[in-house]
Amino acid sequence: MPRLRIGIDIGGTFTDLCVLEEQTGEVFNLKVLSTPAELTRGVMEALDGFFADGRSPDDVTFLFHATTVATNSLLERKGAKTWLLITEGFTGVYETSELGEVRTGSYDYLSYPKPPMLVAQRDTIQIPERMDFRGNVLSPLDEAETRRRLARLRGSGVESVAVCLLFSFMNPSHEQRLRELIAEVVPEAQVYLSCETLPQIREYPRLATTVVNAYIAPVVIRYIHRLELALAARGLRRPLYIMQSNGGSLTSGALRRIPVQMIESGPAAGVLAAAHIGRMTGHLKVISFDMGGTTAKAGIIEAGEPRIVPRFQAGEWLITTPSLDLVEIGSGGGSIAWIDKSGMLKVGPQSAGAEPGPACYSNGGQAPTVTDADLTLGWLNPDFFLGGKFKLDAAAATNAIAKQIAEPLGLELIEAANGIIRIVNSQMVEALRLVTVSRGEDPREYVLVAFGGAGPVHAALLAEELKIPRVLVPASPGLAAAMGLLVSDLKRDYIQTHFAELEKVAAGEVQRRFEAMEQVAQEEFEAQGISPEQIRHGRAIDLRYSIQKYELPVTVAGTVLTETDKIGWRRMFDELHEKHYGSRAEDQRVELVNYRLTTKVILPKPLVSESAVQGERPDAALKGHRSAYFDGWHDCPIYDRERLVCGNRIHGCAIIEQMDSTIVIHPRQAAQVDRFGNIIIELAAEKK
Amino acid sequence: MMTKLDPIVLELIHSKVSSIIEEMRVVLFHSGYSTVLRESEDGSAGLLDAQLRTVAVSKKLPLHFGSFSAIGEHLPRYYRTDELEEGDIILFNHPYAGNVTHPSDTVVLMPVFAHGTLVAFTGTLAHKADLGGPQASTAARDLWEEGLVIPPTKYYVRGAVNREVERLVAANSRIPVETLGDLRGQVGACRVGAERMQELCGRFGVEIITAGCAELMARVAGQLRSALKSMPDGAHEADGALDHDVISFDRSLRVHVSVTKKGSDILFDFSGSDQQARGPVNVVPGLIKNTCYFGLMAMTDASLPFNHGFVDVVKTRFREGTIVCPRPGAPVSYYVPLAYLTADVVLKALGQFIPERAVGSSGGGGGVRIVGTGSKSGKPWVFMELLDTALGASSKQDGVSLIHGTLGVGQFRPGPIEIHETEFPMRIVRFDVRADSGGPGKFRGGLGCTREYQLLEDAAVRVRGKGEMRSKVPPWGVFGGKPARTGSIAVNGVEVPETAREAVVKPGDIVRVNMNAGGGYGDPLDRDPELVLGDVLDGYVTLHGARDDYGVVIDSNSLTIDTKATRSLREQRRAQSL
Repeated sequence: MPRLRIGIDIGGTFTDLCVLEEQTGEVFNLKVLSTPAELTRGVMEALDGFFADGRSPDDVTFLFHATTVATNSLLERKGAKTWLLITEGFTGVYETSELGEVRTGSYDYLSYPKPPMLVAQRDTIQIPERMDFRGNVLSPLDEAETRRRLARLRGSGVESVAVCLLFSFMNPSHEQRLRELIAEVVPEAQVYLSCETLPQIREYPRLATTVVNAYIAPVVIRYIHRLELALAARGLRRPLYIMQSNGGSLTSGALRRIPVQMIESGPAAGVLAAAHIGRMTGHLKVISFDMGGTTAKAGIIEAGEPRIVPRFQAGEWLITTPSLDLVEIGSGGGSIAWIDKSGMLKVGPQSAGAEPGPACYSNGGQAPTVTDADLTLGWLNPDFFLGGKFKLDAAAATNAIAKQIAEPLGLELIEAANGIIRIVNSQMVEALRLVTVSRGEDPREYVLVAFGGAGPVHAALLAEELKIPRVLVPASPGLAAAMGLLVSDLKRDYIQTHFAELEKVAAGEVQRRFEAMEQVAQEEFEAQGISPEQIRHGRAIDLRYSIQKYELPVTVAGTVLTETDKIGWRRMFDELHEKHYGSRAEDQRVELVNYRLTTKVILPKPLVSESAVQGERPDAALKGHRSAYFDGWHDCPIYDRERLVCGNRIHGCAIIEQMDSTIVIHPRQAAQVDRFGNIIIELAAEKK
Repeated sequence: MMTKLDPIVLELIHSKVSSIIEEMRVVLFHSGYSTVLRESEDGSAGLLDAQLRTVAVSKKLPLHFGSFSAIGEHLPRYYRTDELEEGDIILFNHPYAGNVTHPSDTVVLMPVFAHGTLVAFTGTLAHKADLGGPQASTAARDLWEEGLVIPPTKYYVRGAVNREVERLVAANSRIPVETLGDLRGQVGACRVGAERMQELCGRFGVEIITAGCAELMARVAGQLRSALKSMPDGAHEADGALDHDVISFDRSLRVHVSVTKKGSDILFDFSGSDQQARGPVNVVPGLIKNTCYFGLMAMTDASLPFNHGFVDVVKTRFREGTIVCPRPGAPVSYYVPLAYLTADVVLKALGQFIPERAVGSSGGGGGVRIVGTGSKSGKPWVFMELLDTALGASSKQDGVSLIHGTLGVGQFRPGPIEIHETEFPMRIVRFDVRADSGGPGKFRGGLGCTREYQLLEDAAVRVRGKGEMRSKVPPWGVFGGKPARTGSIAVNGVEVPETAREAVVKPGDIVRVNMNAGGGYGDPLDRDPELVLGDVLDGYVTLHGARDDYGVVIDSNSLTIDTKATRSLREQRRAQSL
């Protein structure tokens, strides 16, 4: 009987389905257009396409999903009607929004773009109560007065309520009681407590994250409900696992309480795929590089595991939940080239996107884009874009570049096209440099895994500039995120602040706190039908030098903790601080701020099919030649990826075409197909 | 030009130098040791060419825009070019021999060599938590009371630290570990920038890079000139006043600017400003020039990067002995109120040239400093945080609330309440948006905040006048917009007189800090009553405020607009004002 593991990734343009036969390692792929108005429709279309071949839904073992529904509802401000409950006298907290990076590079100093408040002050109710920093009640919750104020909720159309009281992470009782009091007035509204969403010190990030959670929750829950109904109607009754920003999956049931963890669902799946391919091929330090139509995203994998950051930025909003360290670069195939007022050539951040798209799409887009430059340089095949499903108009591309860039700047057409590529590459190189070099990592030790439609077109040049010696292009670069889903594990991050001086806190207390958290985690996972012996807990504590801004996490090994362990944590923290910030302070007091628990269930990894070496010569895959530009025109051989086999070696310049992407190999570079079907591009040692 | 400098190479150089600055900033703030540097990111990085012209500086903190350019006037007096060697690092904090804002800001400057030729300088400027100087209760009367001053001095010689300089700095700081740690962070950032610059020269060649940097500055100058050309010619003036100088409380201090613009030339003449102050509120010209660069960028083309192109185009005039051009030796350590005020004055003057861009005044900067001695530990503690004010309203929208004004916009914010209460013997019992504080107008000025601290131990609060010393001439409105409410400090509900430099508080006492708001735009009687009602619902304006400031009558029970009463009240008000 077949055993099918299914991954479905909804992206901005396409919905990808990837199915793995667990016993043979065989993979089936399917790509359909996404259906933004009703996302489940695209998913069902893909599944119907797959099961139409007489396969049985009963053979499905796992069903994984990455979705943009959480991100879209936030970025497009299409969340639920949300109210906010705060401690009385603290209306300034949410109003003083913490600013993310302004990405445009241009500052309007006179109307500074603060991220919009998702809940207006008029929909905020102040609650008479107060805790102190130890969690002792300073003023009890005045229930009579609270009931009177909560009456405003009645008939307001509220769908979701966020509750964030000061020091609720030390004593959640007031927030918990508020949930009951809210239910008395509006039993149909969802209630999200900050002590559950993010029981962590610092009121602004806790409040802001709880608000985002409450704001997107009803939309996400409705979506999951519809999807599960549709799946059940097709006989798919396995639990639905959804990818989170932290790179682990959770059941849809568990995520209903914490949908804010789904924001980076799709991009996280892509990084997982890169990490998996890295481990498979013996590369434990990987930069994942995903370039699509409007943006590029880079992630960092160290020691085989994606790097995690405690907070990240989605659009204008800072979100404090553990997330894979993803750097978004506002450059993609659709980025528009233009000339600024002083006559300098610029690329992006405006994008033609998929609609109307680059000039060569002949879909109303007039502006020259990166894709138009790729086409003009001969890197893309106008007759084989998406496997030929979609014809590109090369004349429209060259015309747009000639008229709008080359002529005004007095450049040759090809200089202009090449210039667009150099500039967009330079932007991406700088972003990649920020995630590596400026964080103390040397890119020369990394392999770049390139995917997304445009990733393999540009990756080799980026690697050259960053002196990354090797680029790896997986078998299906356009389906990497869906592939990543198939190799994911179940995972949930728990955090709890309990502030103490490290010297003074007893190891036994640390032990007890972790055990209490593990108990909660254990119960949650068992409720999802997981047997206890599959559950693994990983402990860490966040430490900091007193009066410094941010903590660093230190791994806590062992299950029985003793006083000597504390010396080890302190030493690890000093070392970590030196690595991150270039200094250590052994004479300073160290404070323990947060307890972190990562609970995982490792799922069996699928078998990967391998093939034997079949000779170096790629001649059988040669489709022909065309003129392509690499610091001069070359008669460049074009290969068909489908027909390349393990061991084939290709010397640049060369172009490899496949349905979902194009791989560009430059002069001085050589590529080889490995036994998993990846193409590995080796770069010459040093470019002069 | 000997080599070809096409627009593509130029853009590559541009994106490269911008990212060098960013990378230097990352190193600067991540390696910073003290809270001031790490918490508020009170520092900047810059890249200068061999002639000490600024090629690039971070856009995040307008406060520091021209600070690197200013050194060009002074460094050659201390070191000839042939006295600088690879690996040398120069340190200074001298307001009059380096044009540094105040002695707490130290500049570290590193000459960059490629193939033995001086090609550039990398620089960092960062606030130091302590380099000596007076405690809160006294106000410095001259530069020598403000702590250690360092003229341009070699801190590293050919790559090796000058231990004598390091010992001298350490001996003059109350917190030498943090101070030296921060300096090391500044050095690290300069070195990273120097390496990147050398790589860039290696890739494109020194000539191309030199020509490219010059071209980047020329293009910014060109863009600024064309922006100026499209601005109407004329002359306009503006002024503002500080309440006092912390020493002579009866004398307010006026800053005045007269702006003359003809074709693509512009002159900011500050010579009409008052005589320099005895107290530490003076500001050096280098920082005043920043307010002009900031003002022009904000009012014309905010997409322009800052580089020496601005310095080439913008002309300034000062009269020595004034508060904006004090004689060497005058105290400057409390420069923030006048610097922020001057930025608003510059905006006010420029707004008369470009009325559609005119804005009400921002509330400026500000913060809180409370000191005490631990009752159990006996150790002194210092609590310090920056608090937000607001921006003024414009012709299109209400001013942004709860944000630092002008020179620190978007950069500084208060610390977390939950961290403060955990670490300091205090409770923050209130942090509210300050209703009715925004200057009324067709568009309302942004709102300031009220923050209340309940002390649990004996302590002392620093007091530096009322509302950043802007209570006599509050942040103004424009085109009929009204001024903002200004801030104040009160203990247990009783306002602290501005002559008190310090308020002593006992356990249980509550210190209330009100922060300035922003000025309005246009006649408040022209504000859409629906917007006024919205402000009432949001708690930004009270029912009284709606009636008194806007002439809008709102029924207190139904919270709806009484259209008839509103119409007649507004008519009556308009008639009165005629």
